[in-house]
Amino acid sequence: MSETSSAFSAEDFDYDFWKDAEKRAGWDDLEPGEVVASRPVTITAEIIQRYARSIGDENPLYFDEEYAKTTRFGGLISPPSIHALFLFACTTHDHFMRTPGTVNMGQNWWIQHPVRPGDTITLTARCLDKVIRKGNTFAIHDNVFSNQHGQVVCSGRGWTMRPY
Amino acid sequence: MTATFSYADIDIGHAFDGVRVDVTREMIKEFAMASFDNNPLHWDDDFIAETTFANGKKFDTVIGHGLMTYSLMVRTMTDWLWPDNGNHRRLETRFRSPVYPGDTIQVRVEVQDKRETRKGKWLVCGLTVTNQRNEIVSTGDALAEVLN
Repeated sequence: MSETSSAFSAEDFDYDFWKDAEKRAGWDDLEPGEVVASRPVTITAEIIQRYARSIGDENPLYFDEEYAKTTRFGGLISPPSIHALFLFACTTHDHFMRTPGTVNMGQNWWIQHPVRPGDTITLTARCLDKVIRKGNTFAIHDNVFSNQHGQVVCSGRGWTMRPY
Repeated sequence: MTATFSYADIDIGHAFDGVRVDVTREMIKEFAMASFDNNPLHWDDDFIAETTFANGKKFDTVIGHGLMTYSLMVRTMTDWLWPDNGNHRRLETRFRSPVYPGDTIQVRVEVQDKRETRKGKWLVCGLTVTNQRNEIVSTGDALAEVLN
């Protein structure tokens, strides 16, 4: 399933969302139901911990392996909201969610299994529907994340307002 | 972490204040790096100044990520539930107003309903996130699965 055995790292990530922005699908180009390109990502404890710290979350379940082993989780896990990170880590630079000016209107997420350091996560991502409301254009998209065991770890849907 | 509880201990109407955070540009920048969402809405003042939406609305300054607010709502749930009380299983949010640097946001949880299914015990929770002007920046519907 995984195309690469090396762990994803922040150094690999292109943070310049202006680069090739015009090549990304605009609202007119989005094809509801079409699965868009994605890539598998192997998550490290460092990536999980940096994300947890960014929201001020010092839960030892993410940081202290000896402690985590004593809990029902049996080892380190990640915050249930870790999919926020995978949405960008698992998509390619031409993915429409990177378009400058994309505004997140709302999200719903079901959490099925914890994501652990070393897990390889794959994403199935689609735009599902397109809306015009009060003159603004919106996309509704769904995302399903699975791990290397073939388990769906979480699935969700979001609304974004599209700049064009 | 909070005290241990069981399903029977929690009544409908049970409510508590969760995460309270002073949002800064630095925090938004850290979230952008950590979540790999570096949209210029979150760091580029010039882009904000020239961005007007079709309904005529503009943002005052750079904004915090919707998923930053969402993450703080989930953190409130895990602070409450982990490690022994249960699991956070679902959150549906609507981001109603922007979160700006300088805002102080407060997450609040209210248990609105309880339900036992064939295999689980569930608390249906309503979440609100307000800023220092008592404006609602986000609302959410969550499901907590209680273990005992």
